Amino acid sequence: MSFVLTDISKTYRSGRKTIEALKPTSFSVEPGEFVSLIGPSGCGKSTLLYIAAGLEEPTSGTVSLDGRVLRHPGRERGMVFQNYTLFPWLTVRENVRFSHQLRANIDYTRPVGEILRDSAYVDHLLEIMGLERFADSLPRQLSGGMKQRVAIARALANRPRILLMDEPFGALDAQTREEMQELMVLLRLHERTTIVFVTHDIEEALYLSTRVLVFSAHPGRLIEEIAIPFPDDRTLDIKLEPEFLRLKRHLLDLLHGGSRTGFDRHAILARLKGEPHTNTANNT
Amino acid sequence: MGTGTSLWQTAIGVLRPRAPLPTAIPWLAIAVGFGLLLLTWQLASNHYAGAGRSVLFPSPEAVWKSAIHYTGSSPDSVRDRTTLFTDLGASFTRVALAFVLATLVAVPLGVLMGALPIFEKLLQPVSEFIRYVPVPALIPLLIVLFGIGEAPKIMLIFLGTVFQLLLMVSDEIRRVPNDLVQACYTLGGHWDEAVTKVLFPAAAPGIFDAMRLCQGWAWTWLIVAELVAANEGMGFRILKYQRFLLTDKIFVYLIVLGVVGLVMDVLFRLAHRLLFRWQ
Repeated sequence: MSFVLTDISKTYRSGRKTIEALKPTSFSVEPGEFVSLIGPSGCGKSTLLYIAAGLEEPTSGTVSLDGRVLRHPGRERGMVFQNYTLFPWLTVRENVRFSHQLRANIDYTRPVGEILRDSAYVDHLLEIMGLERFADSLPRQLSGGMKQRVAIARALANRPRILLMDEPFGALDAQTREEMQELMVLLRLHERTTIVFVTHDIEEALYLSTRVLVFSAHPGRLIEEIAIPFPDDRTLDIKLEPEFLRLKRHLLDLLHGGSRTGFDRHAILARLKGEPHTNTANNT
Repeated sequence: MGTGTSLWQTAIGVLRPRAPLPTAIPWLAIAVGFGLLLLTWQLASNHYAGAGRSVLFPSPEAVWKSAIHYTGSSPDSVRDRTTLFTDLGASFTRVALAFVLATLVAVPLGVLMGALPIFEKLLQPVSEFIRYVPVPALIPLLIVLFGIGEAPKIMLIFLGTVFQLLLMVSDEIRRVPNDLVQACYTLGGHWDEAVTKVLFPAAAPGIFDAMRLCQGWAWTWLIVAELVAANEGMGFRILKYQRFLLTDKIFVYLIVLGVVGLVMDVLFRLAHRLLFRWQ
């Protein structure tokens, strides 16, 4: 009973060259898990998420939910995009209930009571997202953080089995970002949402996840899988705990360690001071 | 001098690219623009008047008198006024019919062209080709096919606008961010719902703007159509007045055409603002 990605790979063709964006990668997500995909840009984590959502086709491999292979996007996988992607002509409430008026989600045989429960669920989502005062506002009147809360509510209104999130807080300022992270913790506690989350922010991944998958770039590949030992009910305080800091250091080493980033501090310092250039990496 | 430098600074400030203008300057500039137009007009008419042929190019004053004549109550004024309104009515009907027809054809097809690559390949190159065929060159053919009644005129305006509108509509649809379509799919939307519930509403303001532009072009094609064969209409009357050297009346008709175009444009803009408050 889970969401399984098997041997997913992606290669692009540009001219005569083929670029390997993602080496064959497999992982599965169990109900209630919060799995983060983390890595530098170009590591294929977003590509992997889009493939999981059915929005991109993998070069090889399959995506399945409870043993059923999924080839196209569908209501069982909700998605939250990096750029809000709200429908600007609809109010906040109309955005959140957008999925309820799509054919795939209308079951005419359902009793009226259940349909009413849908609209009650929209109200509930607006409430827990702190949006009830803005229910009739238009997206352009909202701040970035609020827009993203609407996008999350819109995806949840459809009651997806799994929520896929592509760097959802990447465009937010640091403070709004932390607020959204706290909101995600509470949301998971109360809605028991299963989430796959793409980010390049190490702290964010550690704070939110039950499991972190670390990717490396050129070619994109899964290099390590780390279980996060903190309880589900977390506060921002855990960011200061020794275990959190130990994991953070470990991830920093994995992602930015050695000369992997190509950033040579000594060489730049020497150039800034006007000293003759010595490449320390080569000399030692 | 204090005022000297401030005037100088204002002049320099006005020439700074994209700088906001100080109050009163915009109105002043508009007035100066129209003033220059009147001045040029007056100078041109002086030139003809000097040669004793003022009938060829009436002065602003003569045209003003002619315009006043149209508002009078003498039998002559009433007759000319009735003619003007009949002409305007006939022309407006032609433009409206052709424009509605062009919209009904171009909007659905343009949406399909913008949404589905197969329709783009099928229709885009053909439309681009036909768009560059000068529409007036079709007049003889249209007369052969449709006679000299209303049909060829409406067809001419229709052909002059429909391909432009088609290409602009498909462009507007293509401009909708792909994210919005993907969001619709992940919420369970089918392809037709991506078109009707996302692409069309997202592109609607742009499509409406394209319709506004095409409405303006429709009046251009109208005049071309009416110059050829008609019994009434703005273009027909202008040609008729040319034959009798009633150039002051031609100018009145030109001004009416300009005002009608402006009014239509303003109405479209107002409707746009009411329809698309979300922008």
